[in-house]
Amino acid sequence: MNKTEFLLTLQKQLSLLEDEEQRDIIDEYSQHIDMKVEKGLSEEEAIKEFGDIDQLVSDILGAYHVKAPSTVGDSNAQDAQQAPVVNTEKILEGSKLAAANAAAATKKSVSKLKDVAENLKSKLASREKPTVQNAEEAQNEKPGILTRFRVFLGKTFNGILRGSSSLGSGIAGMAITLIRWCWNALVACTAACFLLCALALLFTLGFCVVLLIQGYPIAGICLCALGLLLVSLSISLLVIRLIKRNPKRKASEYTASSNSGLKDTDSPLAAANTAPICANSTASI
Amino acid sequence: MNAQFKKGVLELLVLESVRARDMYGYELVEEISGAIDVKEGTIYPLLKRLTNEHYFETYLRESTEGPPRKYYRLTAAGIMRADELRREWFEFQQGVCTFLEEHGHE
Repeated sequence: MNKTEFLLTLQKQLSLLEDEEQRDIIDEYSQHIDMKVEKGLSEEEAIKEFGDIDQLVSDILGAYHVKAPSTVGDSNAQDAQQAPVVNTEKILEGSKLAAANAAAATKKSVSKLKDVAENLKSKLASREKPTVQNAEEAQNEKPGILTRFRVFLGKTFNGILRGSSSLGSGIAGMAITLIRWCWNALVACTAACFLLCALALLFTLGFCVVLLIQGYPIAGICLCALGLLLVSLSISLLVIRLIKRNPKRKASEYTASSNSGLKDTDSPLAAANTAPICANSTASI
Repeated sequence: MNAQFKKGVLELLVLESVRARDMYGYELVEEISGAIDVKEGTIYPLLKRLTNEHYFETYLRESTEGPPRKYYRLTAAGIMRADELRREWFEFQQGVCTFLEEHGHE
């Protein structure tokens, strides 16, 4: 077998692979044969050194996790003839099983839908009944989730109203509080995410530094991990600073601090400090 | 030599050869064939498998003696794989030698 025949046979048996991969493999073997010929061997001798071509194809396809098609042997031929029959039987069995499973699944889903519909009907029917029942029976009944939520909302609303001077300021205060809470929750979640990222990057950096010390060429990866770690930390700190504090709490703290400042004037030390000034002022008069 | 012995150690030899310097296919085949008697056809599929598993990366370098040659270079994963195989080989060799020494004098 000469070089052209060998390469054609190889290409034909590697037709399962992509064109680019086939070309790459063929070029490599062609170059190898050319170098062998330059060394003084003939094409046939160079090709013989590769060994059995079927084994070669099998090894090459194995590198791509592809099973080589069987080409020789009566038993293989018989298996090949029997294989389609066995395969169709298996396919029929599989399809029957799939159909049975699908039928069972549809029956289940239909029965579940029926149950849900019946539950809804009974709930709707029970909702109409309270208009006919007595007031005592209605009170004794356990309130629904919706009713309890409404009660909770009402209590909260009344509590806020008692604290505020007017209805409008109460609603505005509640809205502002809710918005602030939502904002703080979002900011806290974002900061937590970045902190987790920073932690993971710190671990990665430590691992990469250990490998770098052992001699692996991963300095670039280490620098990237360090850079990303610093970025994550700085972003999380920036995000934490965006947390909005309650302005009323701020104001109360300010007044508390200013009150504590005023109270200090009652102490003897404060009196001693102020006395010379008074004495000086009287002297000047 | 026993074919199974050669098959088991071939990957280690290929990785260690390329670790020393980047090589192209023919050069690598010549180097390995000098160490153990192995069919040249087994080395190219092995190179392809190791490349697909990202232990090698390839690049083309112009040659004065003909068309551009495809060179193989070991990746970081390849270095780790070579170290692992090297360690396993020494452990295996030590174990087998110890066993043979103990049973050789019986």
